[in-house]
Amino acid sequence: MSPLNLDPKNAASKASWKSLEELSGSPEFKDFAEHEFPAGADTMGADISRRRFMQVMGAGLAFAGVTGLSGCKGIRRPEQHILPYNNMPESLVPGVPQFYATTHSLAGEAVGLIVESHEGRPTKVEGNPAHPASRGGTSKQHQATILDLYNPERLKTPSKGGSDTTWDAFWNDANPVFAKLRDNGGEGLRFLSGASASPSFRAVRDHAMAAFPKARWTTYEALPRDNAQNGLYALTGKAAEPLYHFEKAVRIAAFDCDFLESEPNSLAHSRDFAAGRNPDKGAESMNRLYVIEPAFSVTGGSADHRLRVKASAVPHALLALARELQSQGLSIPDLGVSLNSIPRNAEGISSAWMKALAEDLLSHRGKSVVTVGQYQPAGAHAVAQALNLALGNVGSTVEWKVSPVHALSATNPAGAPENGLAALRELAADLDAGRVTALVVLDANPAYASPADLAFGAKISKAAFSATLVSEANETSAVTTWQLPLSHFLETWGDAVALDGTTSLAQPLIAPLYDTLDASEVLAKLTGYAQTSAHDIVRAHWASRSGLGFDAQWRKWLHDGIVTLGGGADAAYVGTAPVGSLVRALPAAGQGLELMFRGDARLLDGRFANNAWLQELPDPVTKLTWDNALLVGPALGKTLGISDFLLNEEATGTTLADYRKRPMVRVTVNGASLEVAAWILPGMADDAALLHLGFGRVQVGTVGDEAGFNAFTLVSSKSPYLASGVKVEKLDRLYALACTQDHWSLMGRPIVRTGDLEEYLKDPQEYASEDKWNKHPPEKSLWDEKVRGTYDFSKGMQWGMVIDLNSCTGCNACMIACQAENNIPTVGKEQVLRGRDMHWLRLDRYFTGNVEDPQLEFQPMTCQQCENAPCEEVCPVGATVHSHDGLNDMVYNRCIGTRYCSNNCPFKVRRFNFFNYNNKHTETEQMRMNPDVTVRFRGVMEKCTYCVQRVQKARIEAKNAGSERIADGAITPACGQSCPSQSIVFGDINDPESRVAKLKAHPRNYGLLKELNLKPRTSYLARVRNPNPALALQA
Amino acid sequence: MVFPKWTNKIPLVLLVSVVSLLCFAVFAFAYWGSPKHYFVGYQPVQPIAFSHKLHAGELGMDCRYCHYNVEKGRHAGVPPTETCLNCHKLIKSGSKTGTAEIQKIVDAHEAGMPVEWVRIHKLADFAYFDHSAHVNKGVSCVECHGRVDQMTEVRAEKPLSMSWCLDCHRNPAPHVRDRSKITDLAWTPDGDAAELGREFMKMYNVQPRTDCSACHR
Repeated sequence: MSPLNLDPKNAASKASWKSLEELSGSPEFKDFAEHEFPAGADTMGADISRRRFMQVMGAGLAFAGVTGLSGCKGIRRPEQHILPYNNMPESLVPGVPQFYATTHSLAGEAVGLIVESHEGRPTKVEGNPAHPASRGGTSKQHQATILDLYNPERLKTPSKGGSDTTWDAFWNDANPVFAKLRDNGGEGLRFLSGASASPSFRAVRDHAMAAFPKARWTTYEALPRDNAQNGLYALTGKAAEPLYHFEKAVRIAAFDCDFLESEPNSLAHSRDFAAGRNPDKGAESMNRLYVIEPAFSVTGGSADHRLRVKASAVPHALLALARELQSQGLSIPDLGVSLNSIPRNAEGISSAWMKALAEDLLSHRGKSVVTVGQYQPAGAHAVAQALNLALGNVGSTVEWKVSPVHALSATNPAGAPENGLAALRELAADLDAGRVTALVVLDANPAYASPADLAFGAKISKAAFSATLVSEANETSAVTTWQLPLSHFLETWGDAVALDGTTSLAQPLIAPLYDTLDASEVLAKLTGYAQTSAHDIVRAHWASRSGLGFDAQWRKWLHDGIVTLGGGADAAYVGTAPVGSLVRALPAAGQGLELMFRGDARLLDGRFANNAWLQELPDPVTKLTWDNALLVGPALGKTLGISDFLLNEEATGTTLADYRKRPMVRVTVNGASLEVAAWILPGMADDAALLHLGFGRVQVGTVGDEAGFNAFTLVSSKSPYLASGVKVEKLDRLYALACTQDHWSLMGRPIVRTGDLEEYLKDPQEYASEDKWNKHPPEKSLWDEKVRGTYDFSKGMQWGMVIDLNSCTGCNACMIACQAENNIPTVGKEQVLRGRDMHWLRLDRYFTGNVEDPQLEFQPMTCQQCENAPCEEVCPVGATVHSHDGLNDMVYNRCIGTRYCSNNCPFKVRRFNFFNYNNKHTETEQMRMNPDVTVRFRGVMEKCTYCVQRVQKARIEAKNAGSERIADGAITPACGQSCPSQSIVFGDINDPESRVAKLKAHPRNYGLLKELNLKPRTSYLARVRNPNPALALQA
Repeated sequence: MVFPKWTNKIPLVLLVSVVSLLCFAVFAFAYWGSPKHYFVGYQPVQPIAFSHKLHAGELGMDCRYCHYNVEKGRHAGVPPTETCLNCHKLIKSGSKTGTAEIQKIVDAHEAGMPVEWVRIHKLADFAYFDHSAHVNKGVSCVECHGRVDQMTEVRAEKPLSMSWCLDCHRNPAPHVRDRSKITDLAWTPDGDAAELGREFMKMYNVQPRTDCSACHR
């Protein structure tokens, strides 16, 4: 194989590229991309066994029962039964879904949801438009929770040491222990849980701590959130967090802050950021985003200016900004250091760049934001918020809110933030010293998700009595005496407070599938709380806070999902004395290679590792599935000797089938070493490497087993997210990484259109035009389009879609929403390696520009619903045909699987069922299927339908109501509904008043491959960047 | 001469018999393999000897008393057991079957177990039929289910095949009637059904779809 040719000249010749292989124009890439499915895939390496694939596919095959097929009579189909209700639930119409509001809490972050239920089984999660943290959007994790609910590998009964028993046996075991503890005041009793913002749970917890005053409660989250709180604590004396209003911000400086995806409240941020991203408002009112970060995040992808800076240098860049602002005349609160002593050109940032940023922020006082990410130390947060204060942003674009997690504490409502890691270290020491007699772990996994040097898992067994309440067996439950089954959030009651103080209720959509309990229920029973069922606990809590008419109010709260009581507390600036110590404690920018540990975008800290949807979802930036890898930049890759691995042909005998193989490296840091696959990612800071946490789980179900590498084994509790003194050696082994970035390549055609605001404002009509981007002769049909077919697309409702590339952040939530709505199977790593991923909607990620420091572009790509659809012309059996309303229908029952359509599709959006991916589901798993969408069989082609089931539902509803027109906005496809930034708009293009028709008339609107005269119904709004003219001149 | 003369006819006879066999095979598949043959007349034994003839025919109960979701949703719905008990709390004995059959309903309700009715009208999993869309547009129950009011035990009357669906979707006029006569299974039009149907089609704005995605999703 040929080496990668990463000549900068080469880069200039291509507008955008998906991978280094494409950029270098290697013959292997051309071969790979020209074949719809990679050649030699059958002989693909033996390290991914077929057995493993079958394991993933049939995660619960062993549980499967034979259903429904009771006796055949002659050639008639099997006898089926209709089982009516005995007593019909009120207002239920079989076949018509019902929707209920509930709340999902993740690491203390509450998001209101609306869940679709078909005859009592939840099938789809949507955002609650009334909830401030959702506004109708959802994250990929929210969408994927449905899969967890029906996972056959959930714990079904309590078990002791691995043998199943009953709750009674547990209470019989636990009650004497707790009776003894009650006598000694709880000496030796320890609770451990994740962060929670539930008022009623807090009440149970406070009661427990009062009943056992000597007991200790450890709140530990593996991914940090206390840095922001500590930073604001220094400024306000309260454990507060910043609440941003990006819609009011026109200049945003994000320092290692992925506020569009991994930071708390990211759904609201995406919505607000998109609102401020309108280029028609002009350079002054369209927001401008400066990002300074060590590794590409989706926020970095949305940036107008992005600088690659090592993680340890980010706080110093922030101080350099403070100095620059001060020298330009801004009065900055005392930061405890002399700003004049700070170098202006900190760590690879030119002083001119800093100057331009400072000028831009200064000229937009009160309308700018400075943000810092959760992986940065508290001192950096303190500086950033001090700058927000100095710039007059506090009160307009930023609010300081007392953290809901802390506001709930009766004893310490606004005191010092808890330090989760310190608490965990203390607990580990207590366990070691034998000071813990009873340990109760509530829905947490510290044995896996904690720094390796604590060896927490090994210490748990020193407690005489230990229990873990968890939904699936994990590393922690494996070492505690008791494993207790936890209810899914869709099976139980609860409540949670969002950052802005809005409280919302969680109600069950289904009775617990197994003999499970909620954390509040177990705690209440162990410690003798007045109520012992989750419903009673929540209801009693709110009844005591509400006056007369509580019943009616309770019903309204449940209906709306929002509690109309209380609100968040603000934190105010009190002085800067403690800031100095935080700032002075900032470590100096590191020298040499540094290794970052960060939560994975999909699995977070590993809690979603057994979720096949999230495992198979490509990482937004790397496009890797089923694995993590050591990410390094191209230059570092060259130094480490891993960029020319393709030259190993003689040594390893690799063929095209090994296209996806990458070298293994041994990473040694903190006295531990890990062998991990390496992946070259453009846009990394020099001398920086990134390894995502959450993979390589040890004790996990069949899905997460063997997926990725456990980065926690390298983590030290002294500096858990950043390590220096890292040694990386190349190993003489290759590892197959299932990356989707070269799948479905469009071979460099100008399908992503992007440019600068100045250019757009000069001539909007020209900006995204065909003449400029894709000059071609006038389109001509081979046939007379007027007489072809029987449909007149100028009449009636005609469906179309517009996707705004300017607000799409590339977060991938739409992909999971589509998967959940349309019963799309997961196929496993081996099949992804063969290019058989089934996602109907994919997010193409393009790099543009310099290979070391490129820009990112995202483009959601799905069936374009061409009016002149090439797929239809080649189907020999008419399995894909047009409908009156302009949809390109896919008729599964006609399809014979020739795959001609897929070959003829220029967008490569058709997916083929190579296997019967759907026949291994257990009865429980079948419950998650959307009954409105056909489950496809082996040998059938499938693709995006514009969610035709939703279109037909709306049409029938309108017709039953006696109307012929469907109101604009009545149909939202699953992708558009989940989109946090509302980038996907669907509607009737024949109605000039519809949102979609207005967007289609917008000058930024363009269709793909227009020269082919396909007339796609989906079109895109070209992306516009808003760079600082002062910086453009420089470059 | 090794072969007798009649052997000259063997190729012809073979050809004729193979062709006619093939023709028969095609005919046999088209006839016995079609829903018209294997589905029409399907009359399974139900767990309770419930007579539609008695309830809907002789007693004149409206179809929608039991199948009350027919205008609201995809499924007309088999009534919940409590609906039966609305009357059968008081009526404990039938004129033909005595008390045994009615007792089954009471027992099922008390035991909290559903009655396992045998499904007769069943479309393929990839076909989505919506009762409300048809009933609200003036298509009577009788068009697909036949004279259920005359059936002691319900049997399949129409083939429910795709071509049979399309027959009506392509030419709906003879099958559309006044909405108030939807459940009047004995109703016959005064005059030409198609002409009358066309009037109601205009009134109800009936535009039956023949797009694949109208039924297949």
